[in-house]
Amino acid sequence: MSWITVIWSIAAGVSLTLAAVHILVWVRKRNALGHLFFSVSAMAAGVIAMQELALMHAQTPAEYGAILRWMHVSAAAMVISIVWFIRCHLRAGRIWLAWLITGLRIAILILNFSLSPNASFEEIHALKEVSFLGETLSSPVGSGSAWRVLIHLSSVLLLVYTLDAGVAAWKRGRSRQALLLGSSILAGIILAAIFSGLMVRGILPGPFIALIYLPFVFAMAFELSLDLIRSNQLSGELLQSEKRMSLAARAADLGLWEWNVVGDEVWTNDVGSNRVGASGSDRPSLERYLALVHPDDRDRLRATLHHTLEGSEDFQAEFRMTGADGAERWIAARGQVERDEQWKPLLLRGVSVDITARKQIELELQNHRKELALVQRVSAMGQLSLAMAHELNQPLGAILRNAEAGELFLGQEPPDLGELREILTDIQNDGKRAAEVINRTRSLLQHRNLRFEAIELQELIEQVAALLNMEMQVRQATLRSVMPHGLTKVRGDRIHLQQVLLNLILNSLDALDARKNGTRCIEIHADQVNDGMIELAVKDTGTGIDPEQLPHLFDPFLTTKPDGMGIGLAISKTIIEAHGGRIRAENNADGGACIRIELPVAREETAV
Amino acid sequence: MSKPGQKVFIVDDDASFLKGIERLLRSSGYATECFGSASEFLARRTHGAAGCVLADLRMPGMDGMALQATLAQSADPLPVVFLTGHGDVPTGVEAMRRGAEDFLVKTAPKELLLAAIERALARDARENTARTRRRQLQSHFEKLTPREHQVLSQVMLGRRNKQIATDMGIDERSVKRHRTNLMRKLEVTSVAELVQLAIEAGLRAAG
Repeated sequence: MSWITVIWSIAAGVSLTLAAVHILVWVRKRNALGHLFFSVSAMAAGVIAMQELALMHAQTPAEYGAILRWMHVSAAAMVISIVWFIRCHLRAGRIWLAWLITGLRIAILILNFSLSPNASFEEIHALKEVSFLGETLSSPVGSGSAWRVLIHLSSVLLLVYTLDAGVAAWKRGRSRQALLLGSSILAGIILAAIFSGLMVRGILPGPFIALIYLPFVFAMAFELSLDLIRSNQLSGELLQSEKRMSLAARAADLGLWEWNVVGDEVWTNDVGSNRVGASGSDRPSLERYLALVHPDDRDRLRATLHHTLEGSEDFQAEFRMTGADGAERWIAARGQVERDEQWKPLLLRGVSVDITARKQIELELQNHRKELALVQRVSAMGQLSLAMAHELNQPLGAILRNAEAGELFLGQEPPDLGELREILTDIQNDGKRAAEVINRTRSLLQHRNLRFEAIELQELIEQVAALLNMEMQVRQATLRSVMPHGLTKVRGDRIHLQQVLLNLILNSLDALDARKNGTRCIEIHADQVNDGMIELAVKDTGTGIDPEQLPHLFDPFLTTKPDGMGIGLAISKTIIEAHGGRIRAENNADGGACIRIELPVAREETAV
Repeated sequence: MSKPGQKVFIVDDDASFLKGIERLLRSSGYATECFGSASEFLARRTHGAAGCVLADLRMPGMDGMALQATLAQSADPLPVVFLTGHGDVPTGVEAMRRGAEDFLVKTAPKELLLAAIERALARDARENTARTRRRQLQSHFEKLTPREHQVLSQVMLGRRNKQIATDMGIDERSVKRHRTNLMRKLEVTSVAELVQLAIEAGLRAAG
């Protein structure tokens, strides 16, 4: 066993091992192209080492020439992969220079295979025996090819390219990598040029590229080991941070969750899984996880999830789940989508909080508000009771008188059947009229939750006007509504909006009474103010609002009336805000008050 | 049952109730006439017509109370019976104080309603007779000469012919002649009768 064989075999082995390591890294992380290029260059270096060994033991000039020809292939692969490795690893280097070197090396390869014996020699006359490290090796005797200038040029370009990339990387603060890679590659290039010259002059048996490549391999191995140390450190830190995170999450009762969109797996931390009584190690599919969600919320949650994946907004939802104890729990969840370069969703990650207690309070508050609204509605209706009784007694009186007349007509000989028939028709009509008066008020006296629908304002105002008709007559005021034709519908609850209008008009009537003289007119103006809102203004010619009270007008229990409760406007404000609208008050320039309400327009119902 | 020539004038803005009550009164034997508003009634009514008014208290425009006030100022007021959808006590009291015959809700029992109308018609008949008589007497008194008027007022003060003659500066025979003439014109035979008539006609002693 000779030293040459041992050294070159070791060089080949080291290079190929390193190539294998990096190719494995690349297979795991396909977008880390640096590893692929380094692996190709190391592989090429390994092959070159073996080719050199064969070269030094060549027996004939023809054999030497042929081996050297194939060595050009591996050399080209090595140079090109080093060029692109530098670009990937240092994230520097001029792209045109990289392509120029790549093109030049391919051109040399084409020349290499079209010339005989290869691109380095024009002719190899003979082989002479050289003694090196105690071994007799073959060294070529011949004349160098004129095309070798191209090989030198590519080496010079590589030199420039490496220098440039190294300086650029240095400037960007990557000094260690720049120094290590730059200097090892530079040294290699210079040595390769010298050795190749010595080989052509027959002083060396081969270009010894395998040896030249070794420092580069060691430099890279050093880099790799640094990476390993760092990742080890990072994983230790990660473990600590995970522990801290889970401690914080548990202390705050914060559920952490992830939905792996690609693999369709849902992971939750122990807080999240304990909440629903699932075991932490289990990773159910999304559908299996959704089975734990309340059936009424399930479809909505699924739709929201898919909407989040398609859209660009963060995920946000509130839903009910069956808890570990079988009781219903309200969960609020927020999350963000992680995507690849093609915007394909990979992962949805977020936190969840148990908001059952908050929801319960909200529900109770809502019930109280609902009751208060009803009480206020009944009290507002109470103000109308006199007018309403009057309105009801009109048809009832007519029915009574008609029936009495009918009885008398029947007693006549012969009875006037025509008249009797008319009487019955009139009785029917008045019966319907009385029923209408009752129906109009009945709905306002019912308990109900907010039920949103698209409402035409004209119709809403007419309904309230019908309710107030008699009251307006008695108090000798007129109600007028002004709105553009075909005004967009608003989104609202009919009964609650009627209540608000009723409150405002009754207030206006009181303000008119307090003024004693002047025009007694209440006007309702409606118009669209922007894309999403419609404004409704109730104006009167009454006494106006005391400027001192204006800021507190909507506060509860504030009243200007001797027999008022002071909840009418407060309730109105609550109702309007529950609609996503606004309410405010002002005084008209020409006297009287104006209450302005903004309500959202009704949109086509879209899937949530 | 109304006497011939008496009519119930019904004033109500509610057409349906108007029709119903008209039927009831008609079938109960009353002559009726309907009006949709107070102003319509005031514009269209025949002056001197006998009967009573049945009016809704709450009406747009001129309401029942205003109608009553306007009627009261005319030469031939009619008794008014008020109807209302819903009776509120203060308004009822006010209406009665101003001389309304009655104040009823629209759903009041038929008997109450008809009784109120009967009372109103009777009152109208009474007031009408009194009015006719007063007018008759007034036309009698209008035939007297100024001298006869002077003598009459002195007689009503209970003065003797001699005193009257002295006061007026004429002789006693002339006084006697004036007295005979005026008693003939007024178709009375005694002084007692004459004084009663003068009071009935609304003349005052000093007049």
